[in-house]
Amino acid sequence: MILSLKGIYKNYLTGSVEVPALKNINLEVEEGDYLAIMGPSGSGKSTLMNIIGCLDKPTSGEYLFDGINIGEQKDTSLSEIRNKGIGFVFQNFNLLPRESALENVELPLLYAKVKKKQRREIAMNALEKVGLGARMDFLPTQLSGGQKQRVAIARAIANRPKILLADEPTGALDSKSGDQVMELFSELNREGMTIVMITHEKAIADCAQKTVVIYDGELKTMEEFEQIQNARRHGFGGEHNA
Amino acid sequence: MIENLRLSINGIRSHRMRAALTMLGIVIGIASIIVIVSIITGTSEQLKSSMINSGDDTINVMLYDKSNPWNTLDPIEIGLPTGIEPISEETVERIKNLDGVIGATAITKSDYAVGLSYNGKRDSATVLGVKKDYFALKNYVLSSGRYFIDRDYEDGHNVAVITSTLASSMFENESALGKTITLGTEMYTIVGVYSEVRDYDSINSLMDYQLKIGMDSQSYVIVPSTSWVNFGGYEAFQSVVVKIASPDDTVTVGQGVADILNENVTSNTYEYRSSSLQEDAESLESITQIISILLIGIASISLLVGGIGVMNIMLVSVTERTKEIGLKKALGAKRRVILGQFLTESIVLTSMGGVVGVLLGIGISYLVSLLLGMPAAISVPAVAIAVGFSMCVGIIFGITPSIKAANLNPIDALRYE
Repeated sequence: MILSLKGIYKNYLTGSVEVPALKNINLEVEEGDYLAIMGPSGSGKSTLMNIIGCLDKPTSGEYLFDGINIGEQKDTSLSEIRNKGIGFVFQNFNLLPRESALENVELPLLYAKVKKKQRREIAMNALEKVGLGARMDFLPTQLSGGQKQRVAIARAIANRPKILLADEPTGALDSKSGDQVMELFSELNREGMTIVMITHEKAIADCAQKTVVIYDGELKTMEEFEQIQNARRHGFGGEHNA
Repeated sequence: MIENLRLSINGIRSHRMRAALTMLGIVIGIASIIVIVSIITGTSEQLKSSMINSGDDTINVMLYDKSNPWNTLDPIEIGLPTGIEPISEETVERIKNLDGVIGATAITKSDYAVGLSYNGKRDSATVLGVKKDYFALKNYVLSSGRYFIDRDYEDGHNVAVITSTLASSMFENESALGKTITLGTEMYTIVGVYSEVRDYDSINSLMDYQLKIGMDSQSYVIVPSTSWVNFGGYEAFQSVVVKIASPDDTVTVGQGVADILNENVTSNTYEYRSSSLQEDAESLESITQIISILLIGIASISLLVGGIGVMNIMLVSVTERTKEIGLKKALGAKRRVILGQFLTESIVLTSMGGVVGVLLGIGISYLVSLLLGMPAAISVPAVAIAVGFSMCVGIIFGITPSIKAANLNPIDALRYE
């Protein structure tokens, strides 16, 4: 078991009022899984992503990452877990604009204190892997959106993380580049990489083996979500007819 | 560390104009400190070497007005004041036996310029009444004629030895020897012309300037102490000239001589104190030191302002790069990595400012010494301290923005647009 979330709650303080963003989230991810988390905006997707990515701690509940209880970790060890355990892929790539593709990929290796020569080698392999071996010295501004996202994926896998955590990875891409990214994800998953992907697009979610939906801070199966949607549609329809 | 340096230099390169303007405060501060220190060091080195070369190893112990340190006695006007005895031969013998004293002699000296005339031509000079051994103590060079001989004293002849500057102004191209000048109401025949050993080709320091002015304006007429009576009205030695073994002893020997002389003083108004070129130089040096501390203080304010500028820009830089910081934290950069990155950038920025400031300061120092004829000596420790100090400014004013960057919440930072 790589991820285990039990009874996770996350409340945000808005002024003096506590607003629940996540309610009783229970989720388990096994090694080699490819999970998509769907949900409309404002449903708590990002909050869940931040918690899974160890960028934020739950208000209550237990989150085990590869057996480590995240709630008990200090800032420094969270940094280490993020560095070695999680590969982040963001919607808008988040590449350092003044650094070359290679240097961007080297960044997590630098924080992992990998020696320079080895760092370069690993980063080059990762770029080859995503098909950008020929553009290592390009600056992000010289790359297309799809290429930028592939650099970001190379960066995410450079440290051989336990999971790849992607937040709307195709959100800023045209459909062709998006498809390429999805193909890359599938390939990585076939090779054994555990992937958790957050998206609001059904077509993208379908690439995953399994999809769950977060709705009003609660986790639902796809079937449960569809039932809710149908019920709401009828509800609106009824009112409309009346 | 190397990575931090690379990042800092990249960061500074991408904002050249901004970095240059930020550095300007540090550059100006460091440059002005370097200029001040160079010129002060140069001047005081010049001072020391001019003292060593001056050959002036005598000190004058004179009567001073206790209430006014610059006022010496004027024996011509008022004679010896009550409570002051003329300096006796025994006292001079005691002074000669002091440690560090090579020789001593008592003199009388007019402390204002006495009017003198020759063929209707008027001038003025300080008049000294000396014993024969006076000339053995002073490093004078006799240009023509002779010093005093025993007969001058025995017969009480009105003879005089004058400085070459006075001779040339009074008699121009004619020889001064044998000419008779009127001093007060007495006639004195010139038997010798002398000049001081020191020869100042150029004015390289404030000290030289003072000496030069002093030498030019102070024309001396030296007469035998026995004929001083004719001119001054009474025979009374009220000063002692002491030749010392080493310039290092100036202050202690001077004090010792003054102590002996003050034993006989019962006056409440006057006391004996020593004065010498070395002491003058030392007091001048202490004045320049005070001035330099003040100037460096002012320059430090510019450094402080520069530091605040650096802090301001670093805060802007942190805000600008919020997203980058968020990303780096997400990728596993620890707090101290972020702290180190921004602190390095701040230190690199101020150190570059420091180095540029040092170079500029050295340049200006040479320029000033060329234009104003003031010597400049680049002090290596000052350069090292200046660069070190600029680094410290980087740390002091970089720490707050760096902590701010390190403490950014990665979620907020990633979301920041």
